[in-house]
Amino acid sequence: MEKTMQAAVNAVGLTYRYGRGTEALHGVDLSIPEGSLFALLGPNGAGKTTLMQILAGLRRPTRGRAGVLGVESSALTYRERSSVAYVNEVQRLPSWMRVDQLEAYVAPLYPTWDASLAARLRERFQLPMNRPIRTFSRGERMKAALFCALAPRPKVLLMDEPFSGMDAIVKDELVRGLLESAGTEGWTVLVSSHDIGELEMLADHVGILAEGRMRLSASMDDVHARFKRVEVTASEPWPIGRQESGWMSFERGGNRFGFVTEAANDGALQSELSERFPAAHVEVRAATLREVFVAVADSGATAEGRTMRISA
Amino acid sequence: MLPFSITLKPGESPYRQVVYAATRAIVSGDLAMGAAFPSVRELSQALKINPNTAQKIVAELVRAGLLEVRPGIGTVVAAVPRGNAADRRALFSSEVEELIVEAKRLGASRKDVLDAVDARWDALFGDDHESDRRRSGGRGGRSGGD
Repeated sequence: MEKTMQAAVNAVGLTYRYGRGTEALHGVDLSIPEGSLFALLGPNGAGKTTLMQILAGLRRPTRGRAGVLGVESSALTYRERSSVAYVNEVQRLPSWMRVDQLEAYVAPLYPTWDASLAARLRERFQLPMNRPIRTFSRGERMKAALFCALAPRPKVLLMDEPFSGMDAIVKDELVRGLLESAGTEGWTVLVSSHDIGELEMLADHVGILAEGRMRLSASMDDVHARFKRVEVTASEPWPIGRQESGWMSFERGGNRFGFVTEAANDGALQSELSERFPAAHVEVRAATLREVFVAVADSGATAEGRTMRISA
Repeated sequence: MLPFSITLKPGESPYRQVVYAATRAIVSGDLAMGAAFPSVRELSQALKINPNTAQKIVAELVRAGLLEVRPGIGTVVAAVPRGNAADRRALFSSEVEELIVEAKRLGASRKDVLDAVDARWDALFGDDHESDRRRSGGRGGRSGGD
């Protein structure tokens, strides 16, 4: 076994091909510093689940390497694996058990099982105690899975689409449960989602995966500082399709057009645009994570020869 | 429930938003000196923000002298420190200039800006006995937090 990195989770040049068919991942690099909460965003089919499964040691990459806590994912020992938790959307749980039976069954498998945290999580998640898991709703199942994953206080928590299809109340409970278990140090979380939702405030790092490629990987501070949403309103309609490279998610309608762009300095961008469009009103603000996500996921597709969508 | 009011907006770092909201509550007296300030854990859970961010927020407020760590008790609101002359000069040269430029861009007059500053000052500190100006005026929004 080889100690690879300081980062809690790391991948270099990961490529994964299903059989002879499609490549789900192409040369993905990823580095998640210890103690951070990393949001892996991507549209459905982007390769998020494949990446998670490789990191969890459930799949071997076709090429490249993946490691967790400095150990190659494919070589995690039983002991090391107990400090890495993996929760996915289609969690298999023993359906005939009640939660108390599940706990009695799972707890002894983990040397680090924290009974008092488990009690708090049971309450936080309001898990039904008197009926078997097979009667649970989707939300209850996810909460039960997360309960098992969090109570051993894993050092690394990999969560694949935990919020998918959950109602607002369940999402809220999941987030609070997650934060309930947050240690003050060394708690690293990778959570994937096709939707931004609660992650904008929760994450401190974000990666955007689209068509098997990591299009952006940065700290949230960076994202907030780098990406701007610009709106230009003129007194007359604009010529159709007038846009430039570096303008992502370009949209126009009537006298207005808008786009997302990268610029370090709001003021400089503002004055540059005001100079170029002297008769127009130019508004610059920080882009939301949702806007960055759409822009970045989409701009890659443009580079690969797709037609840019221009909404009127 | 947090002792100060905040609604997090997307597209801006939660760190800056919360530091600002807490600073506003403290300097306006909504959070009185000696009042308990939420712990990192409470802050993180109430706002559903990253614990590391919550940690940074509390550290920044302590560094700025707005909060004080009392061993065994927790973090409490400190006596609002008066900035020194240099801090004030810095504020006047940068932030005020930005305000003026933006106002000018939007076609506001000098009087519009001064009136707006006055009105906002009143709204925030209208019944603050220590402030150098006393007027009766509307209170700043103090709606429920999370």
